[in-house]
Amino acid sequence: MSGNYSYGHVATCEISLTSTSTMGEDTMAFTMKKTAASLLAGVMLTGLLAGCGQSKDSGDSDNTASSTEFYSAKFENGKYVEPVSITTVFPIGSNLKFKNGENIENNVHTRWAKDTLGIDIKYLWTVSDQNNAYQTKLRLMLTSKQEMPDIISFRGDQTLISDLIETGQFTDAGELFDKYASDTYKEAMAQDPDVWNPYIRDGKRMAIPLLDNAYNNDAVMYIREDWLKNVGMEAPKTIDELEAVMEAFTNGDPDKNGQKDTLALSIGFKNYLATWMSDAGWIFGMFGAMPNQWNENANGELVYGSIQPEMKPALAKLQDWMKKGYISQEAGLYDEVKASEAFTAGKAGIIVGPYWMTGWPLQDLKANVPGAEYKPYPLPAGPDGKIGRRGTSVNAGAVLINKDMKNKDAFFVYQNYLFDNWANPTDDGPFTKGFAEGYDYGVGPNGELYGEQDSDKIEGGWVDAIRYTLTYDGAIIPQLRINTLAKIANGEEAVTPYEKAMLRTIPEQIQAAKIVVDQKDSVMMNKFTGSPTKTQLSKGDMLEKLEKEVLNKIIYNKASVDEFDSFVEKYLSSGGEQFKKEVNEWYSSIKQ
Amino acid sequence: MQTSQTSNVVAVPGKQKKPLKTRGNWKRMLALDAMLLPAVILTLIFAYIPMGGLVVAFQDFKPWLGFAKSEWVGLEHFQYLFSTPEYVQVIWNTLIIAAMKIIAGLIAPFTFALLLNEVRSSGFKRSVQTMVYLPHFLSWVILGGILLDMLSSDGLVNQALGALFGIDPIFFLGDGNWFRFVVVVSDVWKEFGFGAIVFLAALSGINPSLYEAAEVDGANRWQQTLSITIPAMIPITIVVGTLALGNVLNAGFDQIFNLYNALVMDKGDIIDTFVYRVGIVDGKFGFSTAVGLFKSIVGFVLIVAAYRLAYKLANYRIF
Repeated sequence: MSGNYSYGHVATCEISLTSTSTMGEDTMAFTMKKTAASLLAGVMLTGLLAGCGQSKDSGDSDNTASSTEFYSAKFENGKYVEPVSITTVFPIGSNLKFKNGENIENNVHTRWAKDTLGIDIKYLWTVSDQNNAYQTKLRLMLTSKQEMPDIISFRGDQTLISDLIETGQFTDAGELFDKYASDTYKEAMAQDPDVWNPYIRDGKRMAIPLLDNAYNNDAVMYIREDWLKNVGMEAPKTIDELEAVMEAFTNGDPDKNGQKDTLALSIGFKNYLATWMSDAGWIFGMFGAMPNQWNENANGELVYGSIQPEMKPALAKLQDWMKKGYISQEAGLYDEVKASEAFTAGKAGIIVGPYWMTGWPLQDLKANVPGAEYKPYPLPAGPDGKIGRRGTSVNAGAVLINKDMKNKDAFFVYQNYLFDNWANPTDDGPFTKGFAEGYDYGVGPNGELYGEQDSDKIEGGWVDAIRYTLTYDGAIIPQLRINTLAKIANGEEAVTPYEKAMLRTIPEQIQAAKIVVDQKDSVMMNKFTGSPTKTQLSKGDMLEKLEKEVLNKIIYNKASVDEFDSFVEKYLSSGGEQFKKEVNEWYSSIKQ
Repeated sequence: MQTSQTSNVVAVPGKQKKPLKTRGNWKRMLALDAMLLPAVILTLIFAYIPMGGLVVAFQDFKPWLGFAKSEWVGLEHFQYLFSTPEYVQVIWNTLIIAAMKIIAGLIAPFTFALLLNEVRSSGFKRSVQTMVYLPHFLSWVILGGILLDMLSSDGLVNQALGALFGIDPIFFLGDGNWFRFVVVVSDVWKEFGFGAIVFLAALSGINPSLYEAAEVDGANRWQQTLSITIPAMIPITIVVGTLALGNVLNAGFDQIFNLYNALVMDKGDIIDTFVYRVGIVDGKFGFSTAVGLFKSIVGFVLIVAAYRLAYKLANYRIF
């Protein structure tokens, strides 16, 4: 569940980061912050004290010696006989709790790694991950040329990973993956063939993707069931039916309070039109467009969604809906979370977002409006029967492996074990009940199992120990979660421990997950996952600003839909053309 | 180092230095200098040494190459900045919003302090003062959220306007001109109470015998205000104004960042929000440092100029 909240965390971090970084009245403080800090750390500390010790080529002699054997150190019964070490760095997120006086350096997870696998995990440094502190510290490490740890796992900003790869300090991880990864691990990785793309440099896979649950942020449509009953209508399957429902939701007093105070649809596109919650991307999807991302066209070329001609009819629709009051006048001012408030406050009848919205924030609806009911529905089809939704990547981040790491196989021994035993545990495996007794599960006197809900029955409270792992979530097989939920929704019996655990999910969530899987052919993935191109870096902000301004003005009827054409021309001539060329160069370099 | 004229009615505290005897005093001076040393060192480390990082403004900076190896591009970033119309617009926005803020931010606390000074009941005075400076301690992240609700089409403000004057809902945060208005008014509302503290301090520093003398001469309250209170506040007003001028390219990042949106970008996007997007989000350090450097230079020039002016016009010196 907690993985679902990650977007909320990202959002708050961003805000707090920006507010703190400008506290000083110093005119320079803003831009100087990074350079100042890096200069300080770099010049003052490493430069003076360490005396520029970059050339650290001492450990290569024992590396080459191991080529005859599969493992780099003596390995018996799934365990290194003499413990080998992995050095790393780690962010301590707000969802990380400790008990029994443990900390990240010494806890049930590090003991497990040592006892079970013979791997000694050492942390060079850890940081409380607020205001993107981990990212900042990694950047500092990069600029100050500190010694890099054996592995770095990082979730978030793609450019930082690119910069780290750029240092040349990290090894071809794909080669190691092919050699050491277990079958389960390889199968999980193969569920999305594009997952390596962001990390490919000169045909080499320079980092190992961290996998997330598949379709995690793919959209379904939630409709107020009681409103539908009140206006005597069925859930819409086409855009025409949808507009009829929206008309009734806006002007037909669906909440029966005698006032015209309702909205049909809650969307918030302050950040992006196609986004992770309070989404408007599906409206464009009905016309075969998908803004804010790179789609593959019929010629196998990547094209930027926001400037395609299919955008025009969708923009006209949005403009019309705004005029008729179906969507809030504030839609362009609200971000994803803010826009969802209209739905949870009982002021809007439709919202589109991921299946886990049922847990948060839609849970609030029942508290705010007694007797309110909602149900997930499939996205409606456009005039030509098209359905399109924004796809979400299973790539949550990456693990980089230092080329000077002594026992590079150790990471795979570690990760294989988690993929084989944790990701989809068996009935007699080591993780059937959870990661560790007394942490993420407890056993009662009569053998009953205590989980998160029975936190008070576990001595010292429930603690999610799997979050201590090097890869943050242990191991995730992308499609397992959603497929399991869909299976349960279809009434199949839960057999494995994983399936039994999923039984406890909120019923609406199970339904929503089934819809996500049923509509999986409508997914439109962002195909450009490389690092920012040259033009993107120099003109990206200007282009994005231009796009946002014009599209917003059209939706707000401050500009006519026909201005879209001149916008596209301007977009292409002020760098868009070059941008497209670079993106396709990247794409062809990946595809070969 | 000091001026012989001390004809000003209000003595700014710490202005009159006693002439120091140079001989025999060095021991005492040494102790004082030693006390100053930590501050000087801190300033050196945290303000001056990092200025070396400004070379980034002239480089195509790549973090993994560092300062030494990044490609030198000279003034390219600056040329790019001034040759692109969008960026020139951003600079104009910043100037306009900041200038309006500086002027309004000077008039409002000044007037407020004058009015509050006339209040007799000290309990009332204190509670009002406390209430008006409380918003200063709220962060813009919170206020931004509150304003977003208050100024929405069915929010408090529009409801009140509709009920009182029958005005159609105004799209405050979605219309460029209204946006600037909202930014300035909300900033003044947030800061005027805090800004008034300085003026109130200056007011309490006025010698009461001046008022007594004026009363003997038959001056009424209004005449006393015009002839004693306002002239006495001019120097501190100039000081505040001078310091504020250095901020003419600071239009308030926190505020704008939390309030702006695509609809008001053309009138509301300022240098700081722009640098944030380009520098931090897109990771173009060289360019954003160049913009920051430009901002600092303008701020520096303005402070020096204003300081000179303040010296010429009001005979005011900080050092």
